[in-house]
Amino acid sequence: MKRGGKMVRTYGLYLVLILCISFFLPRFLPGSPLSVLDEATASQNMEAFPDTFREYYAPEKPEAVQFLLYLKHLLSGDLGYSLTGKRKVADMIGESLGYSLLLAGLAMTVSTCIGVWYGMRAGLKEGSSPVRLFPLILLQAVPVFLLAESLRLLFSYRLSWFPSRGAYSVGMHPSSEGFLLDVLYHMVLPLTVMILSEIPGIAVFTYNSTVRIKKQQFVRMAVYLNLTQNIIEKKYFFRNILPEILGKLSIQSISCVAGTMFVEAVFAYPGIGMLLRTATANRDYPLMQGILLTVCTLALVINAIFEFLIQQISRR
Amino acid sequence: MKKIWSRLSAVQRICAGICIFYFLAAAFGPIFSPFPPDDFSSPALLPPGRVHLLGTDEMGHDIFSMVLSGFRYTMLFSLTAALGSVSLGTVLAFASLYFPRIGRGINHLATVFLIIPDILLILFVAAFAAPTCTNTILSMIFFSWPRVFRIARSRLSACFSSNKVAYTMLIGGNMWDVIRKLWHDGYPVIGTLFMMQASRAVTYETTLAFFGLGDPLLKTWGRLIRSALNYENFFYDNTWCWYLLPAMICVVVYVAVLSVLVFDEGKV
Amino acid sequence: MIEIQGLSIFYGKRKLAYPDISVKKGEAVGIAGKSGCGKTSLFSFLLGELPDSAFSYERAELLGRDLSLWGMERFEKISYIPQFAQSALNPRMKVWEHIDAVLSACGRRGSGEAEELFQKLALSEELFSRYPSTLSGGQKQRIVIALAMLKEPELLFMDEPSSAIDFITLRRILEYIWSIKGTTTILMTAHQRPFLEKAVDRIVELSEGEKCWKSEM
Repeated sequence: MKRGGKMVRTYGLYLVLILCISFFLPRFLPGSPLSVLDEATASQNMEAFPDTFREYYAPEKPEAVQFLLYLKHLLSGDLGYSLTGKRKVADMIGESLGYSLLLAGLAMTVSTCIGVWYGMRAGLKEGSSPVRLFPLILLQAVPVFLLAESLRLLFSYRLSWFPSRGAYSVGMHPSSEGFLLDVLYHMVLPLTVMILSEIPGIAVFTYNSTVRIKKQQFVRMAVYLNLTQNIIEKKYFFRNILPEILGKLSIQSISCVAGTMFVEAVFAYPGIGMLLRTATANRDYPLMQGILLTVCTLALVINAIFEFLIQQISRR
Repeated sequence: MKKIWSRLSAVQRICAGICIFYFLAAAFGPIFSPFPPDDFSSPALLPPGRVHLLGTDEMGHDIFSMVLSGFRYTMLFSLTAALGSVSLGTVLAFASLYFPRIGRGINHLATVFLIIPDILLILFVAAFAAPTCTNTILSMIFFSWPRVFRIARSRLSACFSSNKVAYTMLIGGNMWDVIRKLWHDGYPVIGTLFMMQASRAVTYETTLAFFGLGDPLLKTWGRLIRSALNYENFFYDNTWCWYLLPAMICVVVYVAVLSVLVFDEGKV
Repeated sequence: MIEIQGLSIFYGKRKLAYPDISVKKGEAVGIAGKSGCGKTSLFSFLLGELPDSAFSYERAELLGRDLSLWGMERFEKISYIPQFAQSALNPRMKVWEHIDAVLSACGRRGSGEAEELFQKLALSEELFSRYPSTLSGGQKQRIVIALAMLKEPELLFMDEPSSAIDFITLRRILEYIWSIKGTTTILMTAHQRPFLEKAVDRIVELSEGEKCWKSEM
């Protein structure tokens, strides 16, 4: 229970740090309209923005007040007003978050299963064989958006096997017939891209963990005791690599969320990635800041969950 | 130097050779460039031919020249960003171990940055701030030092608790004595970290360019890839073969080669 | 059970020559010699862990068959207790899980053999539900012996059972060895002479004077 308390305090600290980063970053960037480093140019830039922007950020007030105002807004769920969407940022993000979580969650689950299985298989083979991993390393070297565009080129345009954009066909509603199937159909390509981009990291890590355990003395003892291959794999290898794998998955999940956003941007999939694309293209600051805060908080939550899992598993 | 070469496997030697090629291409490539990369006086959208080895883009730039200039920019980004983040991360790692009280604070800060996806922060900075090359590099350094910090710290901490160093500190050795002792055990990690960061920097730059951020005037591979993807007939004709592929291959090979060099079996 | 004649093992430039070794059924034979004289290498050879280029012999038979004809199935008949017995337990498996694993590999269900063995080795049944990290060195050593004997092997190889443990554990292991002598064939190495002399029927010397260090290829 004491460990739990410590964890809560640590993550509380992290949350505060994230809020600070979210608050101070735009204010210390040269060229930003909220910049405190060059107030003259900043206030000049401000002229271009609508009143809602100025109301939300209140740049004329002292920094401390701004921060408290920011916190107050957050507590009431107000993330500001989008310049492009002309709606509340919180609403826009709320609608999109579900799709992103769906895509990222599915991708993570599938790629973990395949990645861990493949990595362990490769690691258990006799002798060391890093050559087997080179295709994976090559795959990992391709930036995820390039992978997305390439698959889109091949499978959507050249072969016309799958749709090239959106989460469902135009005109479909959640209550329409075959909606679920349509959603799944549209999800195939983005999901495949995500899975392909996540598997290498997990597989290579699992391989390394497995190889490391292979060298341990208690594994040799299992051979001497004539234990079955099944038991050796499950109880000797898997149980011993599990804490490390969970640590890796924790980091990988977050890069999966980031990767999902890029894939969504490519496939015009209505998740946070699409919002990010429009936000960066149009310099929609409130939307970008809202996205940053949401994703950072999400990352913190994911990390906390994995941290908790690792602690539970490591009880001995 | 000879010792390092002999410890590499055959595949790693090939990869090191490729890295050296990239470096040479960055240094001498533009000499072979038939056109200045920002010269768009040639006819647009020519397929590969004798004059334009890789054809031209929709504005009339020679693609081959742009790919060549990409070597320079890639080297610039990856070497400076790597140098900066590795220096910063290592110095902070050492400081956090030598001065344990601020060490905990730095550690927490680094952990937060590790939890947050760094590409997102870099994207954010690039969107908010003035789109200059310096800003991009600075933000890469600023947001990727935690990764270096974490790895350097765990390696250094093993060294710190070793008898050599504990003894040095016991007899009142100053900071420089400790650094000298640590360097002996620690420098291989620095090489690995450097290559790791160099490959990440290229991925960052390419992603930034994809989102239309970063300096629009620099003819980097990222920008080339983005123009190729934005070309209106990208999905319908075969232009991508000579427009997109060369830059894409350059990026992928660079990142893959560095990953292979960094790959150390059994090290997690 | 074991017949070895003219064995040589090569380490880079060094060559270790072994005397003829013959172990009959039910015997307890000890191999004595200074550290580094090739005691563990002998076991590595018998267990098939050395590459073909590292050894040569005139005759080497295990249970009547030439050594090169034995594969992994040798571990059904042989139990090896390595020098690293104290790090030989899986840190993520409780003691009873180790026992279960060995029994299921033999195709047997537990019916008191484990409890019996533990009793003979002066180990409490309470240890069943513990993780190896909570056990002492001596307990781990004896548990490994118990696990090895649970297989009911025909041959027991013990590599330096006397090193790195306390006197009381040593005594208990000695008593156990006496209790299984005659039913199990034992081949043991140790560098502590007094222990070896008490434990085995006869001793084979590996190093006579400086012989072990002098042979160069």
